Amino acid sequence: MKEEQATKIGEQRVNSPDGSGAFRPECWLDEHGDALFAFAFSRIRDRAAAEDLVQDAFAAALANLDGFSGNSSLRTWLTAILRRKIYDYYRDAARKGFSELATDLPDGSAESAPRGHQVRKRWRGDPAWHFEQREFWRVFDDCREKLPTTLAGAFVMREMDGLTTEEVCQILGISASNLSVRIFRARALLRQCLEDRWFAREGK
Amino acid sequence: MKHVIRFFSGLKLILTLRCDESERLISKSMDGQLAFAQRWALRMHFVTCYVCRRFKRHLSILRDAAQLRAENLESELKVSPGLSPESRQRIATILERRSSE
Repeated sequence: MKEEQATKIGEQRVNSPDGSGAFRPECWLDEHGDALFAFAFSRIRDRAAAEDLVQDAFAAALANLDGFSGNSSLRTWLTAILRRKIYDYYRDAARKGFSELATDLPDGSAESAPRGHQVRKRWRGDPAWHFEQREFWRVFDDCREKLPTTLAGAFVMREMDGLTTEEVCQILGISASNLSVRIFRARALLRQCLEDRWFAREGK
Repeated sequence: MKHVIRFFSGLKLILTLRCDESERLISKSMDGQLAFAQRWALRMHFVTCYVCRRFKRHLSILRDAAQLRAENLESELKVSPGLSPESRQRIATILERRSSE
Protein backbone atom coordinates (compact mmCIF):
# COMPACT_ATOMS: atom_id res chain seq x y z
CA MET A 1 0.00 0.00 0.00
CA LYS A 2 2.72 2.34 1.07
CA GLU A 3 4.61 1.38 -2.03
CA GLU A 4 1.62 2.06 -4.27
CA GLN A 5 1.23 5.51 -2.85
CA ALA A 6 4.88 6.20 -3.28
CA THR A 7 4.68 5.21 -6.92
CA LYS A 8 1.67 7.42 -7.48
CA ILE A 9 3.33 10.38 -5.88
CA GLY A 10 6.33 9.74 -8.08
CA GLU A 11 4.12 9.75 -11.13
CA GLN A 12 2.37 12.94 -10.21
CA ARG A 13 5.61 14.74 -9.69
CA VAL A 14 7.05 13.56 -12.89
CA ASN A 15 3.95 14.23 -14.87
CA SER A 16 3.12 17.59 -13.37
CA PRO A 17 2.46 19.69 -16.43
CA ASP A 18 3.76 23.05 -15.29
CA GLY A 19 7.30 21.77 -15.59
CA SER A 20 8.53 23.60 -12.52
CA GLY A 21 9.95 21.08 -10.10
CA ALA A 22 8.53 18.28 -12.16
CA PHE A 23 11.42 16.16 -11.05
CA ARG A 24 12.25 15.83 -7.43
CA PRO A 25 15.24 13.50 -7.49
CA GLU A 26 15.96 14.27 -3.85
CA CYS A 27 12.84 12.22 -3.04
CA TRP A 28 13.85 9.24 -5.16
CA LEU A 29 15.98 7.74 -2.47
CA ASP A 30 13.20 7.54 0.13
CA GLU A 31 10.58 6.43 -2.33
CA HIS A 32 12.50 3.92 -4.39
CA GLY A 33 15.87 3.28 -2.77
CA ASP A 34 15.02 0.20 -0.76
CA ALA A 35 12.84 -1.33 -3.46
CA LEU A 36 15.59 -0.92 -6.04
CA PHE A 37 18.09 -2.38 -3.64
CA ALA A 38 15.80 -5.37 -3.02
CA PHE A 39 15.62 -5.88 -6.77
CA ALA A 40 19.38 -5.69 -7.20
CA PHE A 41 20.11 -7.86 -4.18
CA SER A 42 17.72 -10.54 -5.40
CA ARG A 43 19.87 -10.80 -8.51
CA ILE A 44 23.30 -10.11 -7.13
CA ARG A 45 23.91 -11.75 -3.80
CA ASP A 46 26.58 -9.30 -2.82
CA ARG A 47 25.41 -6.37 -0.74
CA ALA A 48 28.19 -3.98 -1.62
CA ALA A 49 27.95 -4.69 -5.34
CA ALA A 50 24.16 -4.38 -5.28
CA GLU A 51 24.39 -1.04 -3.47
CA ASP A 52 26.91 0.27 -5.96
CA LEU A 53 24.63 -0.68 -8.82
CA VAL A 54 21.66 1.09 -7.24
CA GLN A 55 23.85 4.16 -6.90
CA ASP A 56 24.95 3.88 -10.53
CA ALA A 57 21.36 3.48 -11.62
CA PHE A 58 20.27 6.64 -9.79
CA ALA A 59 23.16 8.58 -11.29
CA ALA A 60 22.34 7.28 -14.77
CA ALA A 61 18.68 8.17 -14.33
CA LEU A 62 19.58 11.71 -13.32
CA ALA A 63 21.85 12.11 -16.28
CA ASN A 64 19.14 10.92 -18.59
CA LEU A 65 15.97 12.51 -17.29
CA ASP A 66 14.77 13.18 -20.81
CA GLY A 67 14.68 9.45 -21.38
CA PHE A 68 11.74 9.17 -19.03
CA SER A 69 8.62 9.13 -21.16
CA GLY A 70 6.05 9.32 -18.41
CA ASN A 71 4.18 6.40 -19.92
CA SER A 72 5.44 4.09 -17.24
CA SER A 73 5.79 4.74 -13.55
CA LEU A 74 8.99 6.20 -12.26
CA ARG A 75 9.64 2.95 -10.40
CA THR A 76 9.40 0.93 -13.59
CA TRP A 77 11.73 3.28 -15.39
CA LEU A 78 14.31 3.23 -12.61
CA THR A 79 14.08 -0.56 -12.40
CA ALA A 80 14.75 -0.89 -16.12
CA ILE A 81 17.88 1.23 -15.76
CA LEU A 82 18.99 -0.82 -12.78
CA ARG A 83 18.40 -4.03 -14.68
CA ARG A 84 20.75 -2.87 -17.41
CA LYS A 85 23.36 -2.04 -14.80
CA ILE A 86 23.00 -5.53 -13.35
CA TYR A 87 23.47 -7.11 -16.74
CA ASP A 88 26.52 -4.92 -17.39
CA TYR A 89 27.96 -6.09 -14.11
CA TYR A 90 27.57 -9.70 -15.15
CA ARG A 91 28.98 -9.02 -18.60
CA ASP A 92 32.12 -7.58 -17.06
CA ALA A 93 32.34 -10.63 -14.83
CA ALA A 94 31.95 -12.93 -17.81
CA ARG A 95 34.82 -11.14 -19.54
CA LYS A 96 37.12 -12.38 -16.84
CA GLY A 97 37.30 -15.28 -19.17
CA PHE A 98 36.66 -18.89 -19.43
CA SER A 99 40.00 -20.20 -18.22
CA GLU A 100 39.05 -19.24 -14.71
CA LEU A 101 35.96 -21.39 -14.95
CA ALA A 102 37.83 -24.63 -14.87
CA THR A 103 39.30 -23.89 -11.48
CA ASP A 104 36.55 -22.06 -9.68
CA LEU A 105 34.30 -25.04 -9.28
CA PRO A 106 33.91 -26.38 -5.78
CA ASP A 107 34.19 -30.11 -5.37
CA GLY A 108 31.14 -32.25 -5.45
CA SER A 109 29.74 -30.88 -8.67
CA ALA A 110 28.66 -33.14 -11.48
CA GLU A 111 32.01 -32.33 -13.00
CA SER A 112 33.88 -34.50 -10.55
CA ALA A 113 31.79 -37.55 -11.25
CA PRO A 114 32.69 -38.74 -14.73
CA ARG A 115 30.54 -41.84 -14.41
CA GLY A 116 27.70 -39.66 -13.29
CA HIS A 117 26.44 -42.24 -10.88
CA GLN A 118 26.73 -40.08 -7.91
CA VAL A 119 23.62 -40.80 -5.92
CA ARG A 120 20.93 -38.21 -6.33
CA LYS A 121 18.52 -38.04 -3.48
CA ARG A 122 14.85 -38.12 -4.07
CA TRP A 123 13.32 -34.71 -3.50
CA ARG A 124 10.23 -35.62 -1.57
CA GLY A 125 7.11 -33.56 -1.32
CA ASP A 126 5.25 -31.13 -3.48
CA PRO A 127 7.53 -28.33 -4.71
CA ALA A 128 4.75 -25.89 -3.86
CA TRP A 129 5.04 -26.89 -0.22
CA HIS A 130 8.78 -26.31 -0.22
CA PHE A 131 8.30 -22.92 -1.84
CA GLU A 132 6.13 -21.89 1.09
CA GLN A 133 8.89 -22.50 3.60
CA ARG A 134 10.78 -19.41 4.60
CA GLU A 135 13.84 -21.50 5.36
CA PHE A 136 13.84 -22.92 1.84
CA TRP A 137 14.38 -19.45 0.40
CA ARG A 138 17.13 -18.71 2.86
CA VAL A 139 18.93 -21.84 1.68
CA PHE A 140 18.18 -21.01 -1.95
CA ASP A 141 19.70 -17.55 -1.58
CA ASP A 142 22.68 -18.89 0.30
CA CYS A 143 23.34 -21.37 -2.47
CA ARG A 144 23.10 -18.64 -5.09
CA GLU A 145 25.49 -16.53 -3.10
CA LYS A 146 28.12 -19.23 -3.37
CA LEU A 147 27.78 -19.47 -7.12
CA PRO A 148 30.82 -18.02 -8.92
CA THR A 149 29.97 -14.67 -10.54
CA THR A 150 31.02 -16.02 -13.92
CA LEU A 151 28.16 -18.51 -13.68
CA ALA A 152 25.62 -16.51 -11.70
CA GLY A 153 24.93 -14.05 -14.53
CA ALA A 154 23.85 -16.78 -16.90
CA PHE A 155 21.59 -18.25 -14.24
CA VAL A 156 19.98 -14.94 -13.30
CA MET A 157 19.23 -13.96 -16.88
CA ARG A 158 18.12 -17.33 -18.14
CA GLU A 159 16.29 -18.81 -15.15
CA MET A 160 15.21 -15.82 -13.11
CA ASP A 161 14.50 -13.23 -15.79
CA GLY A 162 13.59 -15.76 -18.46
CA LEU A 163 15.65 -14.26 -21.28
CA THR A 164 16.24 -16.44 -24.32
CA THR A 165 19.64 -18.05 -24.77
CA GLU A 166 20.28 -15.71 -27.72
CA GLU A 167 19.62 -12.68 -25.57
CA VAL A 168 21.86 -13.94 -22.78
CA CYS A 169 24.68 -14.70 -25.23
CA GLN A 170 24.41 -11.21 -26.66
CA ILE A 171 24.42 -9.48 -23.29
CA LEU A 172 27.28 -11.52 -21.89
CA GLY A 173 29.18 -11.50 -25.17
CA ILE A 174 29.74 -15.25 -25.18
CA SER A 175 29.00 -18.03 -27.63
CA ALA A 176 26.04 -20.38 -27.38
CA SER A 177 28.21 -23.34 -26.46
CA ASN A 178 30.00 -21.31 -23.81
CA LEU A 179 26.65 -20.32 -22.34
CA SER A 180 25.43 -23.87 -22.34
CA VAL A 181 28.47 -24.94 -20.31
CA ARG A 182 28.08 -22.10 -17.85
CA ILE A 183 24.37 -22.59 -17.36
CA PHE A 184 24.85 -26.34 -16.95
CA ARG A 185 27.45 -25.79 -14.25
CA ALA A 186 25.32 -23.22 -12.50
CA ARG A 187 22.33 -25.55 -12.48
CA ALA A 188 24.38 -28.53 -11.34
CA LEU A 189 25.97 -26.58 -8.48
CA LEU A 190 22.69 -25.12 -7.29
CA ARG A 191 20.96 -28.46 -7.58
CA GLN A 192 23.61 -30.10 -5.46
CA CYS A 193 23.59 -27.33 -2.90
CA LEU A 194 19.80 -27.41 -2.53
CA GLU A 195 19.92 -31.16 -2.18
CA ASP A 196 22.63 -31.13 0.49
CA ARG A 197 21.26 -28.27 2.48
CA TRP A 198 17.53 -28.63 2.10
CA PHE A 199 16.06 -31.68 0.45
CA ALA A 200 18.36 -34.26 2.03
CA ARG A 201 17.52 -32.88 5.46
CA GLU A 202 13.84 -32.60 4.77
CA GLY A 203 13.65 -36.27 3.91
CA LYS A 204 14.87 -37.37 7.30
CA MET B 1 28.25 -40.65 -46.93
CA LYS B 2 27.61 -37.77 -44.58
CA HIS B 3 24.17 -39.16 -43.84
CA VAL B 4 25.56 -42.56 -43.04
CA ILE B 5 28.06 -41.13 -40.61
CA ARG B 6 25.38 -39.05 -38.98
CA PHE B 7 23.10 -42.04 -38.74
CA PHE B 8 25.69 -44.17 -37.00
CA SER B 9 26.88 -41.44 -34.66
CA GLY B 10 23.25 -40.87 -33.73
CA LEU B 11 22.74 -44.55 -33.16
CA LYS B 12 25.88 -44.72 -31.08
CA LEU B 13 24.64 -41.84 -28.94
CA ILE B 14 21.30 -43.53 -28.40
CA LEU B 15 22.92 -46.82 -27.41
CA THR B 16 25.78 -45.58 -25.31
CA LEU B 17 24.71 -42.35 -23.64
CA ARG B 18 26.35 -42.04 -20.25
CA CYS B 19 25.06 -40.18 -17.24
CA ASP B 20 27.50 -37.28 -17.40
CA GLU B 21 26.58 -36.61 -21.01
CA SER B 22 22.94 -37.21 -20.25
CA GLU B 23 23.00 -34.47 -17.62
CA ARG B 24 24.41 -32.02 -20.13
CA LEU B 25 21.66 -32.90 -22.56
CA ILE B 26 19.00 -32.50 -19.86
CA SER B 27 20.30 -29.03 -19.15
CA LYS B 28 20.47 -28.24 -22.85
CA SER B 29 16.92 -29.43 -23.42
CA MET B 30 15.76 -26.66 -21.09
CA ASP B 31 17.23 -24.04 -23.40
CA GLY B 32 16.03 -25.25 -26.76
CA GLN B 33 15.10 -28.15 -28.97
CA LEU B 34 17.52 -31.09 -28.96
CA ALA B 35 18.50 -32.94 -32.11
CA PHE B 36 16.51 -36.04 -32.96
CA ALA B 37 19.17 -38.52 -31.84
CA GLN B 38 19.79 -36.58 -28.64
CA ARG B 39 16.11 -36.66 -27.76
CA TRP B 40 15.92 -40.40 -28.27
CA ALA B 41 19.17 -41.02 -26.47
CA LEU B 42 17.73 -39.24 -23.44
CA ARG B 43 14.44 -41.09 -23.61
CA MET B 44 16.18 -44.45 -23.77
CA HIS B 45 18.49 -43.44 -20.98
CA PHE B 46 15.62 -42.42 -18.72
CA VAL B 47 14.09 -45.87 -19.03
CA THR B 48 16.93 -47.38 -17.07
CA CYS B 49 18.40 -44.49 -15.11
CA TYR B 50 16.38 -43.11 -12.23
CA VAL B 51 19.28 -40.89 -11.21
CA CYS B 52 19.01 -38.90 -14.42
CA ARG B 53 15.24 -38.84 -14.22
CA ARG B 54 15.65 -37.22 -10.84
CA PHE B 55 18.19 -34.79 -12.21
CA LYS B 56 15.69 -33.65 -14.80
CA ARG B 57 12.96 -33.16 -12.22
CA HIS B 58 15.32 -31.28 -9.92
CA LEU B 59 16.36 -28.85 -12.64
CA SER B 60 12.75 -28.08 -13.40
CA ILE B 61 12.03 -27.42 -9.71
CA LEU B 62 15.11 -25.21 -9.65
CA ARG B 63 13.76 -23.22 -12.57
CA ASP B 64 10.36 -22.77 -10.90
CA ALA B 65 12.09 -21.59 -7.75
CA ALA B 66 14.22 -19.10 -9.68
CA GLN B 67 11.19 -17.64 -11.41
CA LEU B 68 9.29 -17.31 -8.16
CA ARG B 69 12.28 -15.64 -6.60
CA ALA B 70 12.47 -13.12 -9.41
CA GLU B 71 8.79 -12.27 -9.42
CA ASN B 72 8.13 -12.04 -5.76
CA LEU B 73 9.46 -8.58 -5.04
CA GLU B 74 6.70 -7.72 -2.60
CA SER B 75 7.85 -10.27 -0.07
CA GLU B 76 11.41 -9.52 -1.08
CA LEU B 77 10.95 -6.00 0.17
CA LYS B 78 9.84 -7.31 3.56
CA VAL B 79 12.94 -9.39 4.14
CA SER B 80 15.44 -7.22 2.30
CA PRO B 81 17.93 -5.59 4.62
CA GLY B 82 17.63 -2.33 2.65
CA LEU B 83 20.37 0.07 1.72
CA SER B 84 23.08 0.55 4.29
CA PRO B 85 23.35 4.02 5.88
CA GLU B 86 26.67 4.64 4.10
CA SER B 87 25.26 3.81 0.69
CA ARG B 88 22.14 5.86 1.45
CA GLN B 89 24.34 8.82 2.28
CA ARG B 90 26.35 8.51 -0.94
CA ILE B 91 23.21 8.33 -3.04
CA ALA B 92 21.60 11.25 -1.22
CA THR B 93 24.67 13.36 -1.95
CA ILE B 94 24.50 12.56 -5.64
CA LEU B 95 20.79 13.27 -5.90
CA GLU B 96 20.90 16.51 -3.94
CA ARG B 97 23.89 17.87 -5.78
CA ARG B 98 22.20 17.31 -9.09
CA SER B 99 18.84 18.70 -8.15
CA SER B 100 20.34 21.88 -6.71
CA GLU B 101 22.23 22.61 -9.89
